[in-house]
Amino acid sequence: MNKTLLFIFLLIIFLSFSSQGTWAQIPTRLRIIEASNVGTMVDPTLRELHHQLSSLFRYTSYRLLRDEQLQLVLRQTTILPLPPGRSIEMTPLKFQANTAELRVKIKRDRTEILDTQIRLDRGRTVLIGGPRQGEGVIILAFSLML
Amino acid sequence: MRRDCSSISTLIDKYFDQETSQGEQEVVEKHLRECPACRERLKFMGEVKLALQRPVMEASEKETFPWVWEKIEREIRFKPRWSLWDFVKRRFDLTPLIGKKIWIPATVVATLLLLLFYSAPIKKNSSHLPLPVVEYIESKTNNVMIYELENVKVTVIWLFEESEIDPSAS
Repeated sequence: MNKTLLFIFLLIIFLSFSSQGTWAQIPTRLRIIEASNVGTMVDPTLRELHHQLSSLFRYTSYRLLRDEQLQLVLRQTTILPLPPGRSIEMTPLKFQANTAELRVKIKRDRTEILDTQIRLDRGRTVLIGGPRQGEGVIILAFSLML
Repeated sequence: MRRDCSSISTLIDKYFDQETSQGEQEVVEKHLRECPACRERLKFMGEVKLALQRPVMEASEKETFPWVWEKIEREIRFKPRWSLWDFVKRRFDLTPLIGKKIWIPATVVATLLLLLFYSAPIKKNSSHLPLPVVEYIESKTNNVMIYELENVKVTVIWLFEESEIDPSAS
């Protein structure tokens, strides 16, 4: 009887974890870009993204401030500083069939200026932009590294 | 043999085996004093006994019983060493379960529990429309705009600062 119950319990645990991917690490790329109209310099590492950026925005200069390749863990929050005086919190909520649901919060001096939940899948880029940085703005580029 | 000999022969056997009572012993000894045939018979029984005892004693002397006992002890103390695979097999032996009909109810229970836990997401995603990229958005301090370019799979979330009316968008 004990072995039967143990077997059923292990079967349930195995099925639930295998479908949910609870222990999965989600390979996520976050690029922090400064976009401005000062000069025409485009960071060489942003060449693949430049086409999309130039079709969306009229900025002439794109400078890569940080390129973070993160291994986010399901339901665990990762916090990164954002210039100037801001922070970004990323919490993966789900990861299934190569699609991740990510909760993103941007805070400035503990004030929440953005709270959003985005869905990232293979090949998709989500850009969050607008916060001022010097003469330009900050653009955050999220994508999955699959 | 005198007539008494036939009646006393059982007692003589007992006397030879030293199993007679005090009274029986006296009777046998009295008879032996008077009966040479019984005396001869008793003597013959002793010789036969000796003839049988000698080879058994010689055989038992040849055997080294202490060594035999040591060997027996070693056999008792010896425990087979289980390999790691044998240990795992014994520990997680499910062969008793295979004979039992628990697979079907166990699978049904597991499936029902999983459906109970995950029925909400299944209901949510019942439509065939693609799921939105931005599931939820809120900003207490800024106006927000969402813009999607499906041909290049890019989604833009733009935060407008208070002094800004239009972003630098094309």
